[in-house]
Amino acid sequence: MGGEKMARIHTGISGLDEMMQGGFAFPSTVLVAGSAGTGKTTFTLQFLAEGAKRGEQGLFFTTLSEPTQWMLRFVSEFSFIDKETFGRQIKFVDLGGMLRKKDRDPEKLLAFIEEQITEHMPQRIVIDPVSVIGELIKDEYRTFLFDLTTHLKDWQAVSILTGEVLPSEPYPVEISYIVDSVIILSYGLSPEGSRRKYLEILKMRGTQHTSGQHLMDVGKDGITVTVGLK
Amino acid sequence: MIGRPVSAPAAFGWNGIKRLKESLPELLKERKLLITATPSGLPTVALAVICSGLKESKCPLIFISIDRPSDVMSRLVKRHCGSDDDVVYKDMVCTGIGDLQCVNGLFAPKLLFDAFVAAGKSDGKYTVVVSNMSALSFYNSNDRIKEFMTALEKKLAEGRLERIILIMDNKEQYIYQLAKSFTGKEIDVEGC
Repeated sequence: MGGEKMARIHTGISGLDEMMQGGFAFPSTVLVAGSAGTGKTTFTLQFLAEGAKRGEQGLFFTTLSEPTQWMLRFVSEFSFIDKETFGRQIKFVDLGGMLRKKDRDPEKLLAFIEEQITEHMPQRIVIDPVSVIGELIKDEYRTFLFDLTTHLKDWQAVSILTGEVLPSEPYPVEISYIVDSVIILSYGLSPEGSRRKYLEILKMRGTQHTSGQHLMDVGKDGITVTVGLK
Repeated sequence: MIGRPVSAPAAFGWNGIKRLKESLPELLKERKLLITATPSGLPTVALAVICSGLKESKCPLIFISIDRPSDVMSRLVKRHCGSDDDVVYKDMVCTGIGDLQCVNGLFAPKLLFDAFVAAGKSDGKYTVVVSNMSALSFYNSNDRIKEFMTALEKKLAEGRLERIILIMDNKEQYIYQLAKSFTGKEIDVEGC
């Protein structure tokens, strides 16, 4: 494994770095997949907040999940959120306007994303959720995804794409092939029969990682993963 | 040492890059310079060096990008420093399927030669900036990397290069130590 040479950045998620040789490979692309309420957005904000704490720039692209202010309002109580960093080290860009247009053009969308990256020079990028774009541009989605991930890989950043799935499907297959890492957030029943959240690293190129589902809690301090607990 | 010590972690990056920018006019008088930074800070450092180099230096720049397409840096320079007319970009990347350079090796010994070809002449007085040096270790043996450094040194000694600036993180010890012994002057920029 190339773990020794590979530069890594801390995720900010308690317990996760220890599962993957210290953090995400830098630069790389990551898919965080899960159904509604599994913690995808919290995961990505915690990741950006960690970067801001370390003096890095973060860029958060929202698609059509919900308006930025609502998303921020609900996460504002987490202890990792430092509102001073909003609009400074963490910038929010809404792609919804472009996506809602009838004559939406994937190439223009890609150019816009690149323009924003060039402007802000982030080390951490989030597109939340990327799967919505697929529903809107349909036939051109595969090409768009390929172009998007190629451009993101060229950039010196760790890019997280989130993917919405139905509870019956673990992850969006079409994205999983083109990213370097896949993390699945899911629900399941604990041995005692209560519904719990789980995190699983499905794929992580160039990294020795812990496999299997691990218990994940979302509390005041954000997401905590407890390795080994089912 | 630039950017150290600063107490608050968040201030590391901004202080580091700010102080680097302030110091660059003076630093660019050196003929050999090694700038180390965290991997995530490398593009910011490279951009600062190019912008300052364009402003302060009389000679054009050859920017060599290891394993990242140089058009990324070209876009950054155009966006943040204005014109990049005096920069020649050369990258060490695979451009696609069937790229023979990748099959046969996208490799260090050829890199400098390719950079001069890209610059259009072999005897120009250029400042050479090599960014992300430590990534060479993913694709090259130590001997090949040493060959590249020796070629750089030779060009500088012959007076065919005005200045050499190496930008890298210090994760890969062999290249780091080699670069350190080659340049003699190291600037460490904390954060990004």
